Amino acid sequence: MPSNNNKLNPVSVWALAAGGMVGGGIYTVLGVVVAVSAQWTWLAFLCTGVIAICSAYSYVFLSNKFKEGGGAFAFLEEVNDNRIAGSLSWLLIIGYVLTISVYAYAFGHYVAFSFHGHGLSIRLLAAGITICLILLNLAGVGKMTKVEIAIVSVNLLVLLVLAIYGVSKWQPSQLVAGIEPRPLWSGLIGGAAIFMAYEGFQLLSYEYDRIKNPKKTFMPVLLSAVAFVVLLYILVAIGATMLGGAATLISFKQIALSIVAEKTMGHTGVILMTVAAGFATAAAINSTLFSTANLAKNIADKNELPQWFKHTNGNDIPDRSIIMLGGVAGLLAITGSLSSLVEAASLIFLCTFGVVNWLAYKENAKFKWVPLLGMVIGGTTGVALIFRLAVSKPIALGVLLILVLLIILGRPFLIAQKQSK
Amino acid sequence: MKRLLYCILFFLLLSCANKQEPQKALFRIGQFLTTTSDVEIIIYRNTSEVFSTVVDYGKITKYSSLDPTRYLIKVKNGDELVLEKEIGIGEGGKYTLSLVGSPVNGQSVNLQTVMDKLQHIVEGAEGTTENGYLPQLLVLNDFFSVEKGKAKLRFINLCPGSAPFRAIASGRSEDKEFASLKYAKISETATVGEGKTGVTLFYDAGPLPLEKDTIDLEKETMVTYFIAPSSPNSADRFSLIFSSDKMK
Repeated sequence: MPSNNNKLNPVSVWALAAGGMVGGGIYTVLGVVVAVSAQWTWLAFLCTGVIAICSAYSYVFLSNKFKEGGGAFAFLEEVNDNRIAGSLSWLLIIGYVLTISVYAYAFGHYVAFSFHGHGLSIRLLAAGITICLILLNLAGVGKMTKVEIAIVSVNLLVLLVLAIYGVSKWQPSQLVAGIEPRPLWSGLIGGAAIFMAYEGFQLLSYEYDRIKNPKKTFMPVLLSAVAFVVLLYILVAIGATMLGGAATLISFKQIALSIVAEKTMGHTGVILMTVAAGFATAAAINSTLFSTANLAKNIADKNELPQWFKHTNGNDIPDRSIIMLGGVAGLLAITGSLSSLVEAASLIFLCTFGVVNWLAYKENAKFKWVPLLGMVIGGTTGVALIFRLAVSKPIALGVLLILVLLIILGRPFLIAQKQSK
Repeated sequence: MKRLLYCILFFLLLSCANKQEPQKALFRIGQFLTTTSDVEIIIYRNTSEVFSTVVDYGKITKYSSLDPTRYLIKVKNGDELVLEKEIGIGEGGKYTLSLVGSPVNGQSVNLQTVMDKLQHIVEGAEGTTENGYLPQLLVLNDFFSVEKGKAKLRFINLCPGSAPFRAIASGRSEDKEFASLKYAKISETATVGEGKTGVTLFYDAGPLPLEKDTIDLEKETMVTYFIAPSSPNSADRFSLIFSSDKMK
């Protein structure tokens, strides 16, 4: 257990939670949600934001109750639901791998755009950043809390300034510039497609042991961080659309915020946004890779993953997990399409948050209506996402469902076989 | 924290001090509705008509300007109202309103297939489908970003019922291929070198050239090639119609 001096104070927890969400989220999802929801983009961020706030409440409630970090897997183990815990943890690892690949994809596009690189240079950058961070983690310097906090601060500042400047240029036609206005309900489908933009806060639940006085501070700090990010996303969505126009954000969805910065401040804007996006996505890849590899090791420790994942190097780093998870994510980043990756990850996190909300409800959270609200909106959003995937990406949905089936049916068999050996 | 607040305050003051009249937007119309010789396009702001024109098949009008706001666009084939769409026109935006598909005699306005409806529900602005080759209004965003000394090139297949095309742009230094150009879908906007460029059109799976064109690409321009049937009633010959946009 870390000494009191090494523990995370409330400001650090707040910054890491906000940074974990904003790190890769808004840079990649804005164009996707504007295409679906147009003038109701802000509503899409608000709806999914409510799920995130309710889930954050449930995460903190369960962490405090069980006095343990480890997220959904640990909570399920605490309530002796090992079978669901094992299956969910496998699914969650897939979700994190998809998330890392989205961040690497975003890193490649944003950095390449600053020197008008395309095609091969984007792929090389996406693969390069993943390899660099794999190596950094293997060397034992994966967790750089102070560096992460510095990056988060700059990142939030750049986004906040862009958002406020954009909102001050209020021109409602920009929300539907070059596209057809959309009905109110499109906010639900738009939000469903980009829910992964909110997943980052739950990485903090793995750091529970490192938080100073968590019983007192974790709840207000995490809830305020998530609420701040919801507000920031809404402001950025409106502000960036005011500056760029809806059609342009859609046409350039991979680099939406850099295009907005270029339209506003020319090449200086591109440089500023590239620095912010580059560092933010790199930090998000790093923290997600670090946490996922440690999660995989913990799960393997409890015999819910093959023992192969437990292996550590001389720096006590789960090296095989880092290499395998980072490698798969890097591969997906250079071969996958943005919206398929984002949506598959969103569905996995909606399921995970649903389970956590259900647990908090079952374990008699003080405000039971909060996890209930999270489950209701999350469930509706999940149905909307499955409908969207069934219509527009049936193959991606099919692959995901087959994976889920394989996990539910194949995992117990694989674990039993390993144990009998 | 204080510094952050001062910074935000500074930007707010700066932006309030620079309040200007909203920039007008530019739009043009490309008429590729097969089986029609010409169509009438009328644009309304609220209920007042602000623009109307008749465009012949295969023609792209010059840019006209509009105030940034929402407009209702009506497309008439003779006396028949074929399309009626509400579109937002953004501040300083530049758009090509492309009319594609084949009107059916006595068709209702905005006729859509079930799949097209579903795709628009779940994907919104990115939900363009073949729509059974029925008439559609595609809004092309003519904004682009290009490095100095280079040009941009893109293609759109507007031939109802055609197999996907493939186009090769052969410049001075390199060839650029645009594969799988499906009906009603716009290709990626690729960066190409300036100067004389040969453009050859093939079927995606075929080796024989269908059409050739040569263009002198100016730097910092974007050229859009519209691949359309060469006459409104011909399905077996294609034309490469291009339009060029200079960067602002």
